[in-house]
Amino acid sequence: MERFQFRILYRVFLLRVVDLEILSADGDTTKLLGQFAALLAGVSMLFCLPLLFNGGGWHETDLHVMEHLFIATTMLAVGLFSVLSWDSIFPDKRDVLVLAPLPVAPRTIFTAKLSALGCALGVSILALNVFTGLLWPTLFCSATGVLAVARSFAAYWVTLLAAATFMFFSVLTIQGLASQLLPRQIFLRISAWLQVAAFCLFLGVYIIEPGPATKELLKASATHWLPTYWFFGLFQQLNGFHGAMHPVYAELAQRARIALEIAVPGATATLMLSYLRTLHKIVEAPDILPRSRRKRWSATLRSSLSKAITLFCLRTMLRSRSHRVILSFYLGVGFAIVLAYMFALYSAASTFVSAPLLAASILMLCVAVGGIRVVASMPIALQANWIFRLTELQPPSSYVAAVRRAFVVLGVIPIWLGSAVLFLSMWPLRFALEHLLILGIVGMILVELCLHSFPKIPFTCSYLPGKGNLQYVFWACAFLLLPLTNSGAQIEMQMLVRPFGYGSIVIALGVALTCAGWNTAATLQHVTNMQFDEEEHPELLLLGLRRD
Amino acid sequence: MPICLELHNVQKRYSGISAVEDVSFCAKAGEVTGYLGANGSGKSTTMKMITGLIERDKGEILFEGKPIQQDLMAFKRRMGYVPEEPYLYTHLSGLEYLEMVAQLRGLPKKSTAECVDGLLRLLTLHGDRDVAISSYSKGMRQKVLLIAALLHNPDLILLDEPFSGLDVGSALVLRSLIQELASRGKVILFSSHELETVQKICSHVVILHRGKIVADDSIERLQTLMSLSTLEEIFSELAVDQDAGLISRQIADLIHA
Repeated sequence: MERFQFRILYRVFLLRVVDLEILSADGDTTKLLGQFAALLAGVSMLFCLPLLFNGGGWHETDLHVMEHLFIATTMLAVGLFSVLSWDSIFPDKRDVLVLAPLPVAPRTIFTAKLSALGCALGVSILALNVFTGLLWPTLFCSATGVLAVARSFAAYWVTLLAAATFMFFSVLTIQGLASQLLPRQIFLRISAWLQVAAFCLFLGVYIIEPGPATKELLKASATHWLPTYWFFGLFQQLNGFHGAMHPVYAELAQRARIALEIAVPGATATLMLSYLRTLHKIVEAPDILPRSRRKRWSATLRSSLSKAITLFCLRTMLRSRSHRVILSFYLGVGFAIVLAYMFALYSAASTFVSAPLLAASILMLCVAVGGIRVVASMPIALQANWIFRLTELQPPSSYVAAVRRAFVVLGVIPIWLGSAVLFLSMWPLRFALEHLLILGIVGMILVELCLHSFPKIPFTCSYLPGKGNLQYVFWACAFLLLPLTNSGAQIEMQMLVRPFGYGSIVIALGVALTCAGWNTAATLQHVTNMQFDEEEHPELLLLGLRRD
Repeated sequence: MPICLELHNVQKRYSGISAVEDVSFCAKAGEVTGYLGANGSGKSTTMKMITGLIERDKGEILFEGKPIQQDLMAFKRRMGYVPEEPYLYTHLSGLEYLEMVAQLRGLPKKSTAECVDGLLRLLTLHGDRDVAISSYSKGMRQKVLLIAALLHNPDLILLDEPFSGLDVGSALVLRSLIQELASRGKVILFSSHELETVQKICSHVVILHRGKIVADDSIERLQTLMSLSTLEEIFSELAVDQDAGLISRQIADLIHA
């Protein structure tokens, strides 16, 4: 009976890895999952490119760097996945209300949830290593022959599996401990901050940590505290290649084993305990509640429509866990990049006007505005959007203006203020003010770009998977944004000291902002109502021709 | 011309299946029009067509003699709607939700704040105004919907199952309120399954059966015409196909009770 219940629940939870309620009526879940799988497989393909360019001419150190990169990337992906699915490990209020009256043991729900998450994670790891996992063990095995290839293959996958398991269970242990030690309401409140911190930590370590170029580096005490190195050591030991019997590998591999032995039972114990103690609390307090008797935040916005939409957006982002997690991901990426730039700056021992700092602030702005645009396209409660439809008493242009202000208040102003504090404290006043003006204009341009073909009230329109062409957007951003920002920052740095050059930049950006504004207005010219349901573009268009 | 809501041959189909077929009736100011029908008969679909939430396939809806589509925004300003299901943004508190509705409607801040405060007190929701709607009971959510629908003093009030989840005291208040508003010249279209309440407060009923109107008259005239004493008997005669006793026996047999 219990096994049968497990199978049913496992299937239900696995299908609900994607929140189906936010999807449009035309939404295709398989398309969305396919896009994610393609994105991960794309990363794997990218890692295989050095093979094409470098052929067989690999030095030991190059191989070590690449092997460490695979392990670190897999651990990063698993870490991000674990943090993203942070809330999914516990059943939500609906699960509890449906399952509580049924004769289903909490243990069965727990194992089904954990297995469903594990399965989704397994598929992600497989997609992320689909090409590298086949090519690298085959080409760089320790010796020739079928057995050597099999050993290399096993070493690769066992190491990745062990690293992924460690990462996943470590995050769960932290979550389990936090939920046990803190009262539920406080846990829910700090949960978002823990998620942001975890994103920043994982991405920051991934970007900053050096590859194992030399054995001296491996012997350094700092690397002994980095889990990616532990599993790198394990891989070398299992693979028996490149001086695998070197004592440093044995020591690192030993650390990997100990880490696994702590993380797995630790996570199981804390989660089992918190499961038994938390189920009834989920029904009582399903999410973060507004603080009673709090001081009300009142934005000084021109129209009441702007105020309504800005406050609605702000409250949704602060109180909806799913939206917060996605925004945290974007902010985490941003902070990690900023951290990397700051690290570079610190290494260069320079605090004066420098391109990395300029680039970091612009990138952070892009990430924040982009993140808000992404979360704004995901609805919070589709069935409740009738109130916006019913109160649509102004033309779409007024709504778009209100959304523009909301994006500026929530996306541009916080980053601008943070940058202002940073630059005014570090740089001469003139340069700081000059950059802040440029940052403000760039922020406004980004907001206009976000409003392109967006006749929607944030968080109210259904979501249509595949329409955004996720993989193209991701790769475009990854390949274009970073170099573009770096080049832009270099140009800006040179122009900051030349009044004429600086003026030209400001004028050019002003023109770009005006054009972006016109473009937004042009795309909304034929919109008669705000959009609440995302629809597929029809493949057959009616021309509306008739013979009168 | 007196204020009235008119529907002329309104039709709605979903995938070729008729949900509402040639519905025509008139709801006048000063009276409460009961809109009755079994589950799935098309009551809520009609309500949503009047609000503009869904589009009709055919027919015309007039308010004060003008098609509502002519100036839908002006019509929406004068309409209040309590939907069948209390779908609200549950991450907001009751007060935040009502403030948002007032802001979306562009109502003046100060007078609205006083109005909201007063309505929350009168409907015994004031103590919970800062609590998230996710923690509200169904009845509390219904009260929030009711306040949101009345906040802007609408001329047309559409009530789709407004008594759902309300406790006895609140239901009595709402019943009196509906009559009071009608007496002050509002057009009220009221849909409910509580026939006893409908009989007490409605002067005129429209009964819908499988998307078509089967009765449209005052309760007194229907009683006389059909020689039946209660609205429940009239409704059973016109809109109920099932034999309640037979079905209950079949259910008990199926579960081996």
